[in-house]
Amino acid sequence: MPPADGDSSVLSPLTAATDPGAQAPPVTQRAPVVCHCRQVSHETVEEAIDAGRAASLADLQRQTAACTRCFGCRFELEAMLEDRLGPGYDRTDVVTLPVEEPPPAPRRLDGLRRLLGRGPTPAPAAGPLPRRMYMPVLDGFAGHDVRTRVILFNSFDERDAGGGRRPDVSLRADLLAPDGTRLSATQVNVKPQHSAVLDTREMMPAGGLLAGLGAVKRVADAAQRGSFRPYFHLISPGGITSTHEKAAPRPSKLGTPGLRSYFWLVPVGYTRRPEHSYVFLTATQPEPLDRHELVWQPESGEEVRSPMPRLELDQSACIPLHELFPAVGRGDRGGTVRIEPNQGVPAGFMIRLDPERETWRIQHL
Amino acid sequence: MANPAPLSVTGWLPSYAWWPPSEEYSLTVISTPYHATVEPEAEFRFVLRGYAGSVRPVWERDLGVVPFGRELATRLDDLDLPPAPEHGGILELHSIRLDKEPARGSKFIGMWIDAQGRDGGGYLIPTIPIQGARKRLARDDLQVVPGIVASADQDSEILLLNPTDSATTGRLAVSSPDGVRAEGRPFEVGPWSAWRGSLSANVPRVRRLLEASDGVGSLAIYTGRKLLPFFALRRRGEPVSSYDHAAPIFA
Repeated sequence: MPPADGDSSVLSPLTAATDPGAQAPPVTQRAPVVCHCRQVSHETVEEAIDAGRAASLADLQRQTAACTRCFGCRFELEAMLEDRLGPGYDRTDVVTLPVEEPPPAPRRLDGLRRLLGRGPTPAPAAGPLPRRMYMPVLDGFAGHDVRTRVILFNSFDERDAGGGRRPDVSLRADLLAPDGTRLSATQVNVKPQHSAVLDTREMMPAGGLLAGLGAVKRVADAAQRGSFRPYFHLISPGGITSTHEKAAPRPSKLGTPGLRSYFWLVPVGYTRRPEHSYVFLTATQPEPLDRHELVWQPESGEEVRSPMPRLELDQSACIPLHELFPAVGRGDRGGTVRIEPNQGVPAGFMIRLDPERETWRIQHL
Repeated sequence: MANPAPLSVTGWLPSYAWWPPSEEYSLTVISTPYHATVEPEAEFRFVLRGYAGSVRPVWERDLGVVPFGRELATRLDDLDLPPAPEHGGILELHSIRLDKEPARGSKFIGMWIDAQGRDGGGYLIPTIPIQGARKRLARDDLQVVPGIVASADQDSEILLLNPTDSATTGRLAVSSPDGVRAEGRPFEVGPWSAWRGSLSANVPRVRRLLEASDGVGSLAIYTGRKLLPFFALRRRGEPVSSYDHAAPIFA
């Protein structure tokens, strides 16, 4: 990470890692807040659960305003509900904004809340929702020497200044485990003409990523910087391969079923050397990706189908197409692997590996 | 030259990719209705063309009519093509939906290139349009690449495609993570041509600029008007392991 001095872009971890000597599976140290977007503390959430005001995620959203912006604390909140309520916890597999706005608490109670160490009244779930963007993180995946870094560049220049755009860009980068759990959160501020380079190893808990897999989620505030897109590198002994993030649906489209007018697909060309071929998917919508299939269809037209794992919001999977469909790995047939049905918006990436040369190729779907 | 699908008879606009020198890459063009629609009555015609400095293509191959449910994986090696220019030319993929004209919004149908290097490596990339995209640009003179690399053992390769009838200029400016810039000299990109150059050869002292950041910085590509810029990364002496498009500045 570059130094956080006055001239550089600033990166500051919002969640500290565990004791570096720990051998246990990766866990993160508890951050001061559970919801980074709304700045809701653990204590506020625990109080709502213990007082019987929250038995579900939707209750917590209404009562505390937590999880009403990027939904990144969803799994942490669910774990707290499960810990404290056991079977009384009312789980949902669809995460979206609560139907009702949280009741506005009287501001005059803020002083009392501060005295009790509970911070100010939570902000209501109003205001624009952020744009979320996702990237895969491979670090030691399948035993390979591969790691990931993310790069953000603020190209703001004198011509943009006339267009009313804000010079600085501020965003948060969350590192997610494949099960959607947030492992860390890093605040990134990028000045004009500066870049932020995030070594994802510095975002990881001790022990790295289980299965060598994860995802980075960019949560950005300013709508006018919607095109401020991160690129990422997969770095291996064979070289560096790069592409950019994939965005979640625009906030205005949340709550719609995500029906697309065409299929997500992975192209499969003829190759002279066998390759490992993967599709990496992160679910980006409130509705789970469920009962989807991968369909391999070579030019000759026959279809081979394989069920896809179920993915809830922020959960990821890296699916080995060369194992499901051996012809894809052999490279002696051209065609596509498509995702059916045409419902849902995953952040998808196709990944190829030449295992002999340790050369990776990546591209977004 | 026969032209079975002139632009004058369809509202569908073509998309583009690099036509690389054949000794460097083996290309498969994937043309599939599945990437365009879910409607079973749909029917498409796919036409490939190669350009090398002139609006008149140097070759053209009509891949025929493809109904929904079928798809094509076309190896350029099988098409008996003339050689591409030294730095490559422009590959046009014209996907024409026969049963429907484009509606409002997107007026092109992009497809996919799977390129494998003759000596290893390669890239996967969608074909992209010069016009007809739905997203609106805030600027047409700038595209950026966060994460170019120039170091003792790595370099970046920049590729600009100009699928238009007139020449324009290009200029590369690299910024280190802490905002120090180095700029290269302006260069010309001819009509219907590909311009290709390495970052270290075109931006003076770029390796020194990026020395403190492990060779990593970001690139601004300024052009006289909208072009199609790409970048690749390669370990010195090794094949390219990715090609991707630069990021436009969307409105």
